[in-house]
Amino acid sequence: MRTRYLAVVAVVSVLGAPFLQAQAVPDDSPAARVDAGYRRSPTLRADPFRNVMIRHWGFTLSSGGLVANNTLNLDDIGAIIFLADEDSLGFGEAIDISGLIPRGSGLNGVAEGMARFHLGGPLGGALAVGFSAGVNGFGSFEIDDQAVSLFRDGNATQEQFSLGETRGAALAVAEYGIHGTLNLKASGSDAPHVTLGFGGRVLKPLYYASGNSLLPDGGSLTITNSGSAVPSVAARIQFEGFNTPEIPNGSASDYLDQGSGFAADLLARIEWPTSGFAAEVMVANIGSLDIDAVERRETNINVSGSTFNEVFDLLQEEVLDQFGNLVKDDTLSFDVQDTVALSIDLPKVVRITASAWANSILQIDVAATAPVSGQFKSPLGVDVGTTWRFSRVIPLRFGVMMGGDQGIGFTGGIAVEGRNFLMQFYGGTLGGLFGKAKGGGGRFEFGVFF
Amino acid sequence: MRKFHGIGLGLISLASITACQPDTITEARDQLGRGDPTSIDLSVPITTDTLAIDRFLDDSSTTTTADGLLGIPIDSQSVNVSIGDELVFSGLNFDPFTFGYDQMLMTDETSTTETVVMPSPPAPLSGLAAPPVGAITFSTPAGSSVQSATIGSGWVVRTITNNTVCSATVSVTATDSLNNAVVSFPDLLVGVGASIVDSADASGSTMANFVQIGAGAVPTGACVPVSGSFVAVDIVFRPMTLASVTLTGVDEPFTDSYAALASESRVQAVDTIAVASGSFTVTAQNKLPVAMDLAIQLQGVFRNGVLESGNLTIPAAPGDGSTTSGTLVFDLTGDSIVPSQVIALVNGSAVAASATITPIVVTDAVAVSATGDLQVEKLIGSLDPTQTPELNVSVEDFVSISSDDFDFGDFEDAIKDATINSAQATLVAQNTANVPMVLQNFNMSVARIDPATGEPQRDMSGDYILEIDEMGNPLGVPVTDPGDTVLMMPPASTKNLALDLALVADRIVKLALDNIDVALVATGDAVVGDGSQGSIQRSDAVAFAVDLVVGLDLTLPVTGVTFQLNEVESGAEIEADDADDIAARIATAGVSSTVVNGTPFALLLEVAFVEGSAGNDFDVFQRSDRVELTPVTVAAPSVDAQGFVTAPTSSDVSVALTGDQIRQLLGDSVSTSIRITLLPGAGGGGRTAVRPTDEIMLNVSANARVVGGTQ
Repeated sequence: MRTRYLAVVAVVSVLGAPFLQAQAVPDDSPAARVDAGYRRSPTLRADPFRNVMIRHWGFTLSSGGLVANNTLNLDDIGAIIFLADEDSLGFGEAIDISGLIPRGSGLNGVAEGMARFHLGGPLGGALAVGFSAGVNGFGSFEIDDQAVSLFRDGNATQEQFSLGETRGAALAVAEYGIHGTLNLKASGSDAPHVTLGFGGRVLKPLYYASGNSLLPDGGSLTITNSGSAVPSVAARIQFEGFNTPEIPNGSASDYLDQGSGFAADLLARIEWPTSGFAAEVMVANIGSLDIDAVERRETNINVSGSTFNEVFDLLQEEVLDQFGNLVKDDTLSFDVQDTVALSIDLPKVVRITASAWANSILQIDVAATAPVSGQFKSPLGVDVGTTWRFSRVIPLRFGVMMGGDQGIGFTGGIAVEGRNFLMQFYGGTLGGLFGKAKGGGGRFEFGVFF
Repeated sequence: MRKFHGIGLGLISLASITACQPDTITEARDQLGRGDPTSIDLSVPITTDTLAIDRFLDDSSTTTTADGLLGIPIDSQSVNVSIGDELVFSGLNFDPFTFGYDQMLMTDETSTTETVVMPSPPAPLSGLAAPPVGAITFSTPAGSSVQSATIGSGWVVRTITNNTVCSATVSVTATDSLNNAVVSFPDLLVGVGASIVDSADASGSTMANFVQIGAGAVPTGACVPVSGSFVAVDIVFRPMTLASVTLTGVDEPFTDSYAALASESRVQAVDTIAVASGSFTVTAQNKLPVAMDLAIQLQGVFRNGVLESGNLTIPAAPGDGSTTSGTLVFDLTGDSIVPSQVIALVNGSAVAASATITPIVVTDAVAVSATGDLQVEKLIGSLDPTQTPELNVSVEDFVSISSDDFDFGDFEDAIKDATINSAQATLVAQNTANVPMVLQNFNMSVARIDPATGEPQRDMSGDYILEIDEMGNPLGVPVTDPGDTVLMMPPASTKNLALDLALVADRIVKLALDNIDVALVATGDAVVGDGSQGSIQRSDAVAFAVDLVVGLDLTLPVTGVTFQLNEVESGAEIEADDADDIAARIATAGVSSTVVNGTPFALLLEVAFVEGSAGNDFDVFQRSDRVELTPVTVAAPSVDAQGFVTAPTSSDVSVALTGDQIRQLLGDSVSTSIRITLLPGAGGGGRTAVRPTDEIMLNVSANARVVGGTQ
């Protein structure tokens, strides 16, 4: 319900922005002289067109990331680290932590990060290209509330538990690619500028791991005892995991040879410079990644009995048919079963952004990043940012980040956005400020242009 | 620059988290406990299990007795009743042997011839005499010289032959060195050419050194003998018996033999005796006033084909009829004796410069006797205990039994106060000898070990001090053939026996469990042989391999048997702070179970524990800081008169603990005292018979309430 609400807000905000300001940026205002690439505000989220939009030849080094969860804030994490250092992290803390998991949500988190070198610039008046190389990573996990509830609530009032949507995935890739933009400008001072962006990246997997239930409903664990006429224990769990194998003494090339993939990025942006309004749609990470050999692990339990001991005994039992073929063998340990080739759909980024100038120094950006489904599942993200250009080249940025399970976050940053020089610090806390934050992100950029 | 990026972000993250770290563990825990108070109630069916009764025992050591009881074997024991080792011949006596030295009072026959030669005419016819001939000396048949003697009896024969032409009257004299007449002959008229023989009795005469013969002839009338013609007189001293004699150059040997063991019927019934150890002690006496050298050879007694023999010298006796004696010992170790062939060959020799011999010293002058004791290595022959009483022997043997030889598991303490009603022993008896044996009055009993000797205690008579029953009688079980009073073991045979050793086992087990050294002893009598041909050697025995199985058929006091187990167990080994935290988190915890009791016991369990090791000898129930759980009672089943369960009972039991109580279990170790009272089932009068199929069914659930969040 909360996600749906945010989505509506985002769409309304994006689509409604043009009507908020009609002539916000006078032609001679500082804002009007801001480089078009800088008017496209930075984000803590993935943005493959961030650098190529700056239409000056030069290079840029950038890195950033975003991490969030819905349960532990920085104070909690600090406490956990402290207790771990003191070797005092134990049973009670596990109980307490389980008690922090929001009821109904389970425990989940997302992460993404990147580091990139970009070299590029304009080719003529309309076209700009950029070459980039770097690493990129995505991660997401969720422990379903149905699984958490056993340890958080016990089985006094609920006797059946499930893994539900419990899953997780992490992917790190090395990538290189090319991006370009084509600027189309109609005649007339107030004519909109249209920018079409396109790009492609060749991906090389560095690390991949994932896990998820193979049963559509997440399986089940039923423990009936108190209040039940016939106590029983039943477990129907099928959980599969994958991971790229460790390569003993492997060189970088060994890791890069594990597979390959391709990702395409598309952008469409329209901007009315005079009014200061812009709208943009970006679809990135279109593609997949093939990994040649991934170790597959599996836990496969389908057993029921009247007691735990009986269930454990059954788990040890191998059942053969009349021909001596193994027909039942519960796989309790999460050991490697085989090695398979995987094709991984990349977490597609679909983002709609609208920005407008409230006046000559204030730019407001509203962006909605569509939720991602699949193994890199992430929730809808709605970011509202403001850029204050009291000085044209030194913008101050403040904003809020909504969406996700961690709650509202706050962002802020400062940059030097000059013709020949770029340096930006941009960060945010999610779900609260300082120690109460349940996530955070940051971005650093350094660029030199000629 | 890229590195700078990473470091920058890392520092920012680290700084953020570090800035959020608490200063104390309490602050950290408070931070994580910021959530709403939670109460986690877990109720889990742990197990539905069936505990077979033998789970309380060492599984590998249980068995089922013939009458269906759960049996605990006592390690196989071997009782070797040594019989061959008991075969001893004591006080064997040689037949008496004497040798009379009469030969020393006898003389050999001796003679001489005296010739009277007629002179040339004219010679006086009267008083013609021959000069005395040389002295006649005497000696014993063995050659000893007679110095002087009194003749007891003896004759002297005279033969006169007249070779002259005249008849003549012939006179003869015989005198000793003292010129005393030894014998007197009358003068005889001997015709021409005639030869006359007569004799004279020398009895009573004495003689010293020698005897000289004198002769004379007087022609009759005027007849003048031809010169040179002669009258010959031959004197023969026939062998004489002397009344006494003084001998010189005494050298009187003798040889004699006799069947030394002819009268020993004990051994005469045996063909051969191989001797393990023992000896014959030969005592010889001597009456002669002459030292006696004896050489004795025992024919029929040999070692490696060499006959036993020995020598001894007996000093000279005073000569007044008293004796001197000497001893000769034959070491018979390793010898073989063929009793029927045992002949003692005695060679004696009396040697002296001189000796005076009288009849009193020659009668039984040498007497030989012997006694012997033999430890038998082997007997061969028609072994007949009626002829050879030594074949009736008392036997005994023992085998030590300790608590290490059996394992009653958790029943150990209960058995101390209960009575064992069943103990079946399987005996494999083996007679290793080639001769039948009969064991009489043979019992398996119990005796305590004397720590000083490592053997069963003995009374003043050397007999085992056997454990006694309530009536004061020795506690033992006879070992016999079924329906018989004795155990007969044919030669080289094996026999299987079944024996009820409950009485013995009960005492052995209890003593052993009380750490009293105890032994299973076998005592009785063995009769070896039946008169038929056979053999037995020293190592032969009747060996009993005893496999004893104690059946768990116990008689418990109506008030039950209470025993206590004190153990130090490993705890959860959780550090104190964490343990405190856990204890604080657990509001309640407990275990509940439905117990269907199919054993013949009712149970009352009391449990107390404290954290840490309470030392080597402790009783947690005596500790003021103990945690004592609510006693758990498992109801008694119904049993029949033999103690077998007829109807299991069901009980609901539960144990509840608080967090503080659980805290005691979370340290490195926990000292626990468990007081168990075993009560007999209803209807059996205290008798409880445990079958392997007896079991306890449990349906165990655990529950806990764990709290979290803000406290």
